[in-house]
Amino acid sequence: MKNLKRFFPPATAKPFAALRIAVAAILLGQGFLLAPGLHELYGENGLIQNSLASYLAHPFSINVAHVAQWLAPYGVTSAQALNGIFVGYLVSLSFLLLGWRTRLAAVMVYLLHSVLIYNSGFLSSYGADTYAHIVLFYFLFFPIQKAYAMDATRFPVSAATSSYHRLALRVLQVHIAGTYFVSGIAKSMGEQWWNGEIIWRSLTVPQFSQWDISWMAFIPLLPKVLGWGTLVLELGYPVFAFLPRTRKPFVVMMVLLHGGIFVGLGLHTFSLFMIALNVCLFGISAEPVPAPAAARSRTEYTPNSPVFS
Amino acid sequence: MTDRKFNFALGLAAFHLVMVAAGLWGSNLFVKTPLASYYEVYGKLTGALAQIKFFAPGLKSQIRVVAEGTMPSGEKFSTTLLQGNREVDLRTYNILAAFWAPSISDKADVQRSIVASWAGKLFGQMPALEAVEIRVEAVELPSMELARHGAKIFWHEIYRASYLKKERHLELVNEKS
Repeated sequence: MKNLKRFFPPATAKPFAALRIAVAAILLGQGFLLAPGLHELYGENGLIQNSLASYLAHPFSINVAHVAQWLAPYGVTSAQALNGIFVGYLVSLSFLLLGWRTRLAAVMVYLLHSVLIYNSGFLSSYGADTYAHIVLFYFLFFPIQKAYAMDATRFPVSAATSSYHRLALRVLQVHIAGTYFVSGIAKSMGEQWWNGEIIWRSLTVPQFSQWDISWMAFIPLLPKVLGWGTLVLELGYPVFAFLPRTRKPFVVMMVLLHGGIFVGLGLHTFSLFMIALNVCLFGISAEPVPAPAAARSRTEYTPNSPVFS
Repeated sequence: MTDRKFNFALGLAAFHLVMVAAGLWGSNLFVKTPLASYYEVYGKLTGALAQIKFFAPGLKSQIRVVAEGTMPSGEKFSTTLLQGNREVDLRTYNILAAFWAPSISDKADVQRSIVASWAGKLFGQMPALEAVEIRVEAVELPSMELARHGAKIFWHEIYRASYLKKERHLELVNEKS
């Protein structure tokens, strides 16, 4: 058991720092976009009223209606409770972005995101929210405050290498690779992904349609190739993302895939979130920067060198 | 981090990734055991049981809602419940899709409650409104081959209900599905 650490050579926390900044910035942007529809989506008298939402929700989930009930004896209305949760969420995200009181901010963001977006919005949420929930859970434990953070002034960044950082990175990498791989398998079982109809349908269905692409029906090979390409990327993720030789071009391909989703389907938050995940987890090096030779020669101890002179 | 602490973290990580793998494959490891509900809560809190199969195995239909009513002044209004804000509208579409979700589509009373919730929302927004008719429509997307022959997308009605506002409640006056 003592030797298990050797499989996880010390790594820096830079990928997590970058991911923290990217996720906080994207969720803040999403928060501002959601603000005009806040009460419509999550309010007591929104599109799904609280009593119905509570009936349909998972029995263990805590949502805005629960918080409003707890605060009601103190004279807080349901709308005020929702506004308070939302403002608290945005403030916590700002602290997370800056890396100030990072761990506390991560706890608050996780709790408030769960209550507001994930639980109260269980009918309205989509892939971006699910990935955010997963990543915010990892932020509770992972070394997100050790670089590019106001808190990091208390830690010497160059020395912040640890086997734990490598373990944390591997866990999140494996989780994300798994989601892509299983999604690829599920897609490969659908005929639409093989004959290109999925690309045609997703680009023409009113919910996602951004452009008039009626011309695509006359070039059926194009959607077919795009469908196959997506399958290759998702099914090949566990291999291409981890092999050092294929990693960089693969990350570029994933950025292009999600860039296409951003432009073609208008899933802006989702696309940015997935680009951030791919770039931070596989595109940013966690390897410690070797100390300059001269500095090393001054600081390294060798058995034959005099310790004191 | 000491070796002992590291090994503990490694054990937790391995446990979590087993849960993630089970969740991704859609299998409940503890089904029909007393641990089933704990497993569900764990999955809910950590996201470990989340299945993300974007557009898999294919893209089904899509739902839209058309609500129409007349104000006491005689002025008519029509809305699709969308706001024109992309991030909000994506979520609104998902709420509308709940009407047709596999867990709900065979429960007429729940479907009725969902539509009543939308009607209630409109009455709340427009206090002068006395009656509203809500149509739920599903889109038919032509295949590429049909589109080459000129076929266009069209919407067909799957549900319709009319509501009147009474003093403190709504009254369902007409329903067709």
